[in-house]
Amino acid sequence: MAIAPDRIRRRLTRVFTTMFPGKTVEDVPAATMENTDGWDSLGTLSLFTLADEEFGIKLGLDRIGDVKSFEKLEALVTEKVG
Amino acid sequence: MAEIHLSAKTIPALADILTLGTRIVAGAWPLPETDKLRSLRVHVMGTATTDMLARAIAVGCAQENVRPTISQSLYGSFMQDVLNPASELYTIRPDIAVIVSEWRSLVSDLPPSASEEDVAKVVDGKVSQILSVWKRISQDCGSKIIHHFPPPPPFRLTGIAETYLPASYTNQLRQLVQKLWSAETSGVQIIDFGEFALEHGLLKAFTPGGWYSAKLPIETGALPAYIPLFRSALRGALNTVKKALVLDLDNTIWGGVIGDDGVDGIKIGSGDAISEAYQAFQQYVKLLANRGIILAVCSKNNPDVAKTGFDKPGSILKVEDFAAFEASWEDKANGLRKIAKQINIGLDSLVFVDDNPAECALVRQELPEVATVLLDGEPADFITQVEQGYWFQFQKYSREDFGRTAAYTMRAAAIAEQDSASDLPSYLRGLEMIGTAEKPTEAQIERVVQLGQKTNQFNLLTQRFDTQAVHGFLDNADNIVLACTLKDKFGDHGLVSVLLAERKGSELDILEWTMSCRVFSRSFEQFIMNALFDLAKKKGVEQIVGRFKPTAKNAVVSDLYERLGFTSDGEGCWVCQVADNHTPLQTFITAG
Repeated sequence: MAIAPDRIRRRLTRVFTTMFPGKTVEDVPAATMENTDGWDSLGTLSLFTLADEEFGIKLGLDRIGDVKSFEKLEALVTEKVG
Repeated sequence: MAEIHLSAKTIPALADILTLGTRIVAGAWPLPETDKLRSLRVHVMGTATTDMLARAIAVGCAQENVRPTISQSLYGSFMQDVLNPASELYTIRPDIAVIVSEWRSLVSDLPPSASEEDVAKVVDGKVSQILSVWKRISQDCGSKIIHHFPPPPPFRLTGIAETYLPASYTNQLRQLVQKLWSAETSGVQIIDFGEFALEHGLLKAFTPGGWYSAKLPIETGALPAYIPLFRSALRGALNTVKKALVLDLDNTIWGGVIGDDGVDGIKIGSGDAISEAYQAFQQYVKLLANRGIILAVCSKNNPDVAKTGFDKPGSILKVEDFAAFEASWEDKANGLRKIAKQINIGLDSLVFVDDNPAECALVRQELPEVATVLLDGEPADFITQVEQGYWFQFQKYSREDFGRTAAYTMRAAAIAEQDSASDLPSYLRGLEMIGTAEKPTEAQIERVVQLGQKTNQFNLLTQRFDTQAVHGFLDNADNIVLACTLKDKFGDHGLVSVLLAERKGSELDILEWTMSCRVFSRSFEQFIMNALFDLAKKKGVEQIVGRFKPTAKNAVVSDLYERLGFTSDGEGCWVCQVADNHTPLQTFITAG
């Protein structure tokens, strides 16, 4: 069941701003661990859990170390729901 | 923000935990400030990573009107922190110490041939280690402890042979928790993740992957369901437990509307699935009552018609099971206020159960301190819907728990009598009360401690003495401990008041005095004070001194000493001379 890329972007942005309300929707696509306050590895774990719930997928915890930006997260989610 | 209604959610959303919980752990307070908030230091530690759990704990605290300052031991340094007096733990001195033990830290690799005795020795070693950790934390930090024990490992090897093999991990864990539970653990709240796993799925709530990748003691996805369990332990630690279950009638404890369908039309009993499900729910409620949960009815009904529902064969509950019966057309918030007053407990001790979303919404709005459970869907699921709040979780039963419902029903009968009596003295005389005020026997000590721990209203200093303290106190023959019992024509209330006084030279200093709220205002306090004066005279005491320390709940005794003829010394102490010609206070209780 494929979801259109722009819908993935929109829904994942909502997940991201729930977790990091300091980011505006416009800033989210360029967000990285470095430019986002409070984003540590537990933040990634939280993002995984919220994305799992949002998309009905299971993001493997082995990928936590790889995901250091919104872009990477989006790629991973797209791979799973794609 | 949806967070406004956080307190009304039995199971919060995962997003609440990951966002609000994260901010609270970081030291922010993203929720409204209210004067009901109580600030507490909460330290989380264990043999697992606690960061995610701490977020859930933060949300659970907020739901219980606690604003926590959360600190955590580093992963792996839990024992070092406990054993090292210079560690942060002893600087923080948390009000609540939360411990999480993972199964790998609690079991030993024993040969399958090990005998029961061999295994018991190993388990006993672990037990004494944990008891000493508890003792250290509670004595040196003054903390209340909430300790999480793990589910068994997620493999069965050879099945039932393994389960009952003495050396198996499962058996070691079972024995360990049972032995710890049986030990004197006053003040320690045990959370058993083994039970939680049965309810929520071992493989879903405790995945091996979560452990290997992040040393998580529980899956993040299971944290919402865990929060009510944590809250029950927190209430236990803070003595804010739920005491009463208030039930709607129509479509809650029977199917249909009694006013429309009549007794014959309502569904309860056997014969069809719906009637059986309602009967099972009534049976569940009855079992709770047998364990000391007080029952009450709050229903929009004509009271005479409403009561006929309990006459239907198949109805397990009877009108006499309820300590308060509010059936009227008034709104339910008012009904609940009346019930709380009649039973004489706080609104925050009530759990209200109703099938009507509008009634539940009104109560949540008007009385957020009442725990509200909306029954939704099939009656077959009602028990689960109540259970998932973990509203009534005791660490242990005492004999008094089993008789409490009857005692409150008796109190309700006595109040009804009071309404009909023309004046208070003749009412009190008519109760034919018999009291005792004597040194407690060994068998009574548990109840003496429990009364001090649980009583919030008639509790002058709220010292919460534990068993050890009471024993220590009794060891000195100059001190006085009075365990006071009361019975009346409606029944035996049992041990309902405790007074502890310390001899200091020619003075007798009342260090604590508690009384169960069900026997207030019956001249029992005068009876006990007379007994204390008699003893004081015999011991050659010249004056008795008492103090009062206000809390949110004990205003009822703020003027107690004044009423008993004590005079204020202007510095917070109340004093009364023990003269030979001291006139006993008026009481309507005969010494038994």
